[in-house]
This record gives sequence, C-alpha cells and structure tokens, in this order.
Amino acid sequence: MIEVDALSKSYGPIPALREVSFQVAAGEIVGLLGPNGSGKTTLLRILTGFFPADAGSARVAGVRLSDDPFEVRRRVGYLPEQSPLYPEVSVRRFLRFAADVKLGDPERRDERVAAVIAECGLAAVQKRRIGTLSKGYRQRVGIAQALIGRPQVLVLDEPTAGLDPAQVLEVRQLIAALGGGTTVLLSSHVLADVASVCDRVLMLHLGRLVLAERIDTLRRQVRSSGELVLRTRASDEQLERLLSRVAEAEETRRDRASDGSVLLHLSHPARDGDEASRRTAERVTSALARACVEAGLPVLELGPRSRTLEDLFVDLLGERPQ
Amino acid sequence: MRRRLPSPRRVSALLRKELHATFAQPLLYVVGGVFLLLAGYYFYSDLGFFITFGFGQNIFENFFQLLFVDLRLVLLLTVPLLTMRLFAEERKLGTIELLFTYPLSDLEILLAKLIACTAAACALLAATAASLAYLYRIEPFAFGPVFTGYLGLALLAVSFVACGTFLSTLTDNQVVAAMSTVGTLLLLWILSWNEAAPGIATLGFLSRLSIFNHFESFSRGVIETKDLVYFGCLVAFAAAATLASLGSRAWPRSRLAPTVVGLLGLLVALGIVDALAERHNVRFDLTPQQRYTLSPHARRILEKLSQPVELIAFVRSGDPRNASTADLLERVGEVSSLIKHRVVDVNRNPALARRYGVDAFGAIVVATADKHRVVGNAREHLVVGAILQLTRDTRKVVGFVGGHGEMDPRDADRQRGLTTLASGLRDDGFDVRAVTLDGGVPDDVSVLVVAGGTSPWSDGELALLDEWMERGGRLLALLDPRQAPELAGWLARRGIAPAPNVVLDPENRLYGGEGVSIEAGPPAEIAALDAEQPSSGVITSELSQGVLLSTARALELSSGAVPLLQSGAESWATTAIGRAESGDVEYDEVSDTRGPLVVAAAREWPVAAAPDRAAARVVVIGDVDLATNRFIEFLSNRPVLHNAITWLAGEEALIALRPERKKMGREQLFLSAGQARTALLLATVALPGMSLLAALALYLWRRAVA
Repeated sequence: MIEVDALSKSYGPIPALREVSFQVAAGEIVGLLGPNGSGKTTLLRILTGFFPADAGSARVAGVRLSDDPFEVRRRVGYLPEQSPLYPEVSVRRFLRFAADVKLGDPERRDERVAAVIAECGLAAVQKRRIGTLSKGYRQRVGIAQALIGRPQVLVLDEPTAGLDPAQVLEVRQLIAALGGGTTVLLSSHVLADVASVCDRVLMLHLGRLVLAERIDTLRRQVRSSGELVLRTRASDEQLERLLSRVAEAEETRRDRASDGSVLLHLSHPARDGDEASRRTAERVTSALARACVEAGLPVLELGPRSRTLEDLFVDLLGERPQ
Repeated sequence: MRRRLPSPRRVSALLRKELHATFAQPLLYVVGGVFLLLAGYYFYSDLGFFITFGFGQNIFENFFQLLFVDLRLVLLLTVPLLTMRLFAEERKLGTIELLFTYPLSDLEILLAKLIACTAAACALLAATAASLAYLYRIEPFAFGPVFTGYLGLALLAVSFVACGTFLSTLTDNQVVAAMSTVGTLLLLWILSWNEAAPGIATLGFLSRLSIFNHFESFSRGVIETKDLVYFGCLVAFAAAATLASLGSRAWPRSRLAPTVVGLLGLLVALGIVDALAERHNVRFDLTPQQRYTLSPHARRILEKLSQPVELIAFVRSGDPRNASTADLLERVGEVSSLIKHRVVDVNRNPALARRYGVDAFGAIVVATADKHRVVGNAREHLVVGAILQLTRDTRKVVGFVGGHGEMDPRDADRQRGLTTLASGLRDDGFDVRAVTLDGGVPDDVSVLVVAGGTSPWSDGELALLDEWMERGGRLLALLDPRQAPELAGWLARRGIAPAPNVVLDPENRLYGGEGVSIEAGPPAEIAALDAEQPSSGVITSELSQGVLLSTARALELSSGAVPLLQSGAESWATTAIGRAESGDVEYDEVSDTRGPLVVAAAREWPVAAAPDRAAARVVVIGDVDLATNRFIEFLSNRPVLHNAITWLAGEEALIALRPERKKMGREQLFLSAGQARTALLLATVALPGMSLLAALALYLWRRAVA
C-alpha cells in the first residue's frame, strides 16, 4: 500500500531524509519512530503530497506521487502534527467542509459526516466551536477529518502528543479500533504508542532508516540481551578481586549510589537468546553469587538486566529519546 | 505532473469556508465600522464642501469625484486588515498543512480566498451607497459616473486584495502582513505623487505603474479599457506571485532562480500588454453630456489638420489638475497622428517655459513649425481653438456692425455685452471686430453680425448691404421686437420677415424665468436632418437642448427660407408688446397668432460672384438677448450662435455641437438643515454603528454558544 524507494529530501544545505526505502502492506499498522529532527514529519509530508521529494520515488495507495499527488491526497487521510484546526468553526461545519473537498459525491456528504462523528465519538460536541474543545476532543476532530474521505491509507503525525494519559489511551483505542483494513502509518516518539497499536516499527535517525522490524521480534530481542547487574557494597579493590574470579563476566559500567552501594553492569559472551546463552547466563550468575559470599560482600541485587524498548532506542540512536 | 483545472465544486466548498471565516467573524464588522466611519466622515465633509463652495457647479466634478478619491484612501487603510489573515492565519494555525494535503490545487485555494475577501471589501463599499441613496432621494442624479466610481473602487479593492493576499503568504504574522500591504500600496500611490524625485521620462513610466492614476478616469465617470487591462494585469501578476510563493514549499533549491526569472518575464509580458492597451485605448464616457469625450466639433477640426502640431503642457509636480491636463492632451492627440504631445515640469524646464512665454502652471502651448500660442486653461475648446487658429491659413473675420446702438463684442456688461460670445468665437479661430458700414463692408469681413440696435438704418447703408450681399455676403441678424424696422423690411424682401410681435409661452415658462422667456427648438423636419447634409439645417439639427430666448419675435418665411427654431405648441404671439413685457396679457383669438411660431430661419441664394462665394447667406433670429453675456451659457444658446456664424462663414464641416455647460436648475443640491443633519447621522453614526453592533452581537452570540 505504501512503497518508498530511496527517498531523499533536504532543506537548503540540511539533509532531512537520506535514501529511505521501505514498504507497508495493506491493512498494516506501522509506527514511525525517531527523535525530534529525525525526518519523520518530512517523510509523512512527502507521502501526503504536501511537498515532493528531491529524489527517489514513492507509491501510495497504488498511485505514484510524482505522477499524481492530487489523487494521492484523495486516497490518503492525514492528521498533521499538533492537529491544526480552525478554532472559529463548529465541528460539524469543519467536517462538512472536509467532506465537500474530499468526497466525490456531495449527496452523501451529510451521511459520511454523521458516520465519522459517531465513529470518533464527537456526537456530544458536534455543534461546538473547535476552539472551545479540550485537547483530546480536538485530536479526535483531527482524526475525524483524516477519516472523512474513506482513505485507503491513514497517516497520523504524533497523534498522542500533548495529551493526558486518559486521552492518550482514548486515542490509542480509537486507532486500534479502525477497522476495514485501513493501512495506518503513525509517527511518534512515544514508544508505548507504537508498542501498543503497531504491527511493525520503522525507526529514523538523522534522516536514515535505522530499523524496520516487527514489534514482537523486537520484544524477543529485548528479553534476552545477555546482560547482568550486580549491586553490592565494596571498595574498588574488592570489586577488582571479585571480578578477576569470574572470567566470563565483563564489566561494562560501574555506578556508585549515595547510600554507598555500587551497581555493576556486566555482560557475558552469549547474546542470541538461544538455549546455550540461557545456560551461560545461569552459570555466570551463580559464579558471581558464590564469589560475593566467599569475599564477604552483601548481594543487594543480582540478575539479568531488565531491558526495555527504550534501551533498544538508546543502543540504536546513541541517545535517549524524549 | 498532471495539472488540474479549478473544479467549481471544490472552489465553492472552499468559498463557503472562506465566506464563513470572513462574514461570520467579528473582525469584518469591526473593520467595517472603521471603514464606514471614515467613509461617512469624507461623505459629509465633501458634501459640505460642495454645498458651501461648489454650489451650482457640476456635482460629479465637485462632489462625487472628491468622494471617490477619498474612499480610495479609506480602502487602502482597511483592505489590508481584511487580507492580513488570509494565509498568515492559516500558517499560524498550521491549517495550511491541511489545505495543502487535501485534494485541492493552490489555484483553487487562492481563488476562494480572493473572491471571499473581495466580496467583503465590496460589501463595505456597497454599504456607503446608503448615504448616496439618501442624497438621491433629495435630488436625483445621473447613475453613470456613480457607477463608474464604484466600479473603479471595486477594481482597486480587487487589486488591494490580490496584493495583500500575496504578502500574507510570506509571513505567519498578521500584523506584518497588514503593515507590509499598507506599505506596498502606499508605495504604489506615491510612485505617481513624488514627481520631483525621478526625471520626467521616469515619471511617465512610474505614473503608469501607479494604481491610483488608473483610478482617476473611473472617479470622473469615464471607463477606459487601458485601466481595465492595467487592473487585470496587476491582479494576474499578484496572483502569479502568490501561486509561486505557495508553490515554493515544493521547490528544490534550484527552482528559486527560474521562478524569479519567470515572474520577471511575466511582468515584462504584462507590461507589453499594458502598453498595447494604452495604445488601443477605448473610452466609455458615462458622464451626462459626455464631459470627457472630445466633441464631434473638435474631432472634425482635428481630423482636418494638414500640418504637424505639438502640444506641451507645463505643469508643476503634485498639482491635482495634472491628471486631467494629461488626459486632455491624450484625447486630442488620439485623433490625429500629426499631433504630438508631452507634459513638462515647469521647474525642470524653465528655459523651455521662457521660450514659449509660459508664466502659469497648467498652461498648454500649442505650437506649429513657426508659430505658437499659449492656452492658459486645459479646456478642450480652448486647445482646439488654438490649434484651429494656428493651422488656418487666414483667420476669417466676424464683423459686428455698430452705429445703430447695437450690442458690442467689446462690451463686458452682463445684460448687454457680447464679450463671452466674442471670446468663444476667437477660440473657434475667428477674428472678431466691430465694424461700421461707412464706405461699405470691409473686404476682409466674412460674416456680418447685426446684434439688435435702436437707431434707424439709412437707405444708403441698406444699399451698401445689398451690394455686399450681391458679392456673396453673409449676414446674421439678431432682432428683438421693434428693433431696426428698416433692416426688418430689408430682410422681408429676402424671404424672412421679422413680425412686429412678441412670442409668449406661459405654459412652458422656464424655471423661474420671466413671462417673456421661451425655450425654442428645431422643428421636427430639421431635427430629423443628418448633420453631414449640406444645409442650413445643421445649425440646429443636432442641438441637445432648446434655445433660451427672451422677448423674441416671430418670423414669417417665404419659399426658400428654412425654419431653424420654433416656439412651443402652446405658445402664441401678440402685438401688444408693452403689455406682454409687464406680464399683463391674455391670449386674444382675434388679434393674436397661435404657435408654434418660427423664431429663427436661414436662407441662401446663388449670386454671380467669386467661386468661393457662390451664394449669399442670411440667418435671422428673432431675439438678441440669447447672445448676451447673461444668457449665452444657458441651454444651447452658444452652440446655436457658433453654428450660425460657422455656417455663414462657409465652414459647415466645423459646426460646433458643443456640450452645454450649465443646465438651469439642475445639478444643484439644496439641503435643509434637517436633511444635512440626517445625512451626517446616517453616514457617520448609523452605518458604522450598525457594523459595530453586528460585531458585538456576533461576539456575544459566540460567547453564549461556547
């Protein structure tokens, strides 16, 4: 449904996208991750026909963008970042305008507007001016206008940004509930958004695609990362002695806490999450425990390091996402 | 990439959105309140000026034109407040991204915004018509010039909106958008203003660029195709620049230079279109009496030019009359390729001014290869008259006979003097002289005029007249009842007998005139004549109004005499002249004669004389007062006299059909104190107040709904 091939775009001398290629199948919900400035919005704007790419090609909903961006815009629903809307207009009037522009058949306009209002839970506020709505409702109006033209592809730029936790949950549910095989590409820098609703993740960094992976694959990787942590109370000398006795563990980081304890990050050779690796982990863990007891050091914490998707981010990007 | 034509469905959807954003928001009504307050102030002060200083003058030149010029400024200050939000607000809100990702073309977005904002500006203009409607109720006026004035303002509004829209695409700050629009429009205004800065050639170019110079004609009641084309070009260029600005989001770096070059190319192309339009200009003069159209008389004179003529207008920078001076030169220059014209700044060309002896601003020098004449006032008949005088080989002499108490062409007295007629004849290229018949009619005299007279003519004088007529003489006799009975008898023998009576027309007394004033017009058979026919009928066949006569006598015609003017159907003639003059007379079936009665006639008969004088010609008018300084400018009095003398001089082709300058009792506006108060309240309180109330109501309603 979306085929992107070597798209590049720069703003003046600053490259925003560098040869990005990927594909999204029909009905897939794909999350686009990346820190601010990574090129997410640029990519989405190209795919929605806001502006063309400098190089490369893209096909959206069966139409090449360079051939007919107009037709692409008809087939795509787009919620821009921060959901820009006309504050002085009522919800219904605005959706009617969007329907007039996007629907070929003006007679079915009111029907479609009513359906979208129901779908997005806007019935109670449909006569109110958009400027008087809460942020959560405004986000729903933004999604409603994106849906109004029965798009084959829905593009959502940061749909949960700035919402309170309850509203975030509502919006996530709304997206998850979009039935009918609509293809969704949503960008976010909130990992949880992507993790909760997406089938697949694309990650951009400095304009390059650095990751394209299914969410469940990523989760598996996280669970078996081959790292351990050990918290104890010891001097550096004692620690050196301790580590020299467990050859398989290699220290990667040492943090001293204010209570006098010290946290050691340790890695061991096997990382692939297979059976051999699991056994290695067990062996190293018990070796460490034994060494501590023999050295008379307290074991305050010992076990595999619990990693999150965010840690994966850090590894990939070399920096922590917001 | 496929280009799409604007779709009416999408444009109308956008238009509904824009109209809602314009008309359903308080901003328009707040701006409208300010607009109407300023417009109302100008309306009232211009009206006050007209009533105080322009009384009896042409209401279009002295009120409407001022008003339209003032409204222009009000538009300049308020339209930017309407255009500032068009794109700047969409950018600020980010909604521009919605529009750009909906299936809409930039052109569709632009069209909807232009139309909606122009509609708002025109709605404000239309509201000012309420004050004019009130004036119309008091004193109806012609619609033509008012229509062109509003058309011009509407075109200005479209142009302002187009410029403002473009500038609104460059920023997301509405204040910046508004200020830059006001600045740009002011610059386009000042271009034609500060004429002292650039050279005269640059000035010509700059004033062609100025929006406001192109509004001038509209404000006077004239539509010129070149102005329509200019406004079209301006809007087209602003629209192209707007589309380029909107499209720049999609540009790679390399597109900037070609786009700028493209816009410059478009500018050059539009400049060429504008120059062509200037060259092939067509004027539509909607003023009553076609004040700004060359009279057929002038046109005929100019078309017959046989040698080159240069017209040089000496003006001063910033003089408000410059536009109409230049306009007159252009109108005259259009007729013949032999006429060159230019406008010169006196202060820049003192030597040139000295060479022609010009000592006043606004003077026009008419120059041929070896002669020149200075015309002090940029008036059509003066300029054309000067051209005529300079290009004629010999000036024909009109001799006013004296010696019998006739009225005198050198006498400036209001009741009896003929100086106004004489100077008009000079403007038409005649020499005017007073002559006596001692020793015969001077050889160089072409036309002899007898204007009344109380003393008797001797037989000798009549014999001299006879002899002159045999040589192809030409005579205009203006005789009141009882005047020159000997000459009347002489005329009777030549087929036109002045009767010893006075014509009265109490039913058709002229507005406030005396009982003996009548309005005479050409008989039906004369009015039906074609002006191009070689007949004495041309003297009156194309008069647009009647002729005002006071104490006129009837004429009895023999065969061969052509009636030129006759009194109304209700008129009658009485021999009781004294009683008639004191207003104490009733129609008497026995002694009085029923109208219509002939009061002016012409006759010509062949004589065996020089080839250019193969016929003797006589015109008789049964009244002399029509020629006096007091009456000559009323109705068609001047044209009929000029026409008669021109026909007598054998210059039928130049017959003047000059538009009358003044209509009695019309184009004057009387306002009672109460009416003036109503006008003031309507224009400065009621109209702006309603707009502000609408703004308040909208604001309160929106708060209530929220």
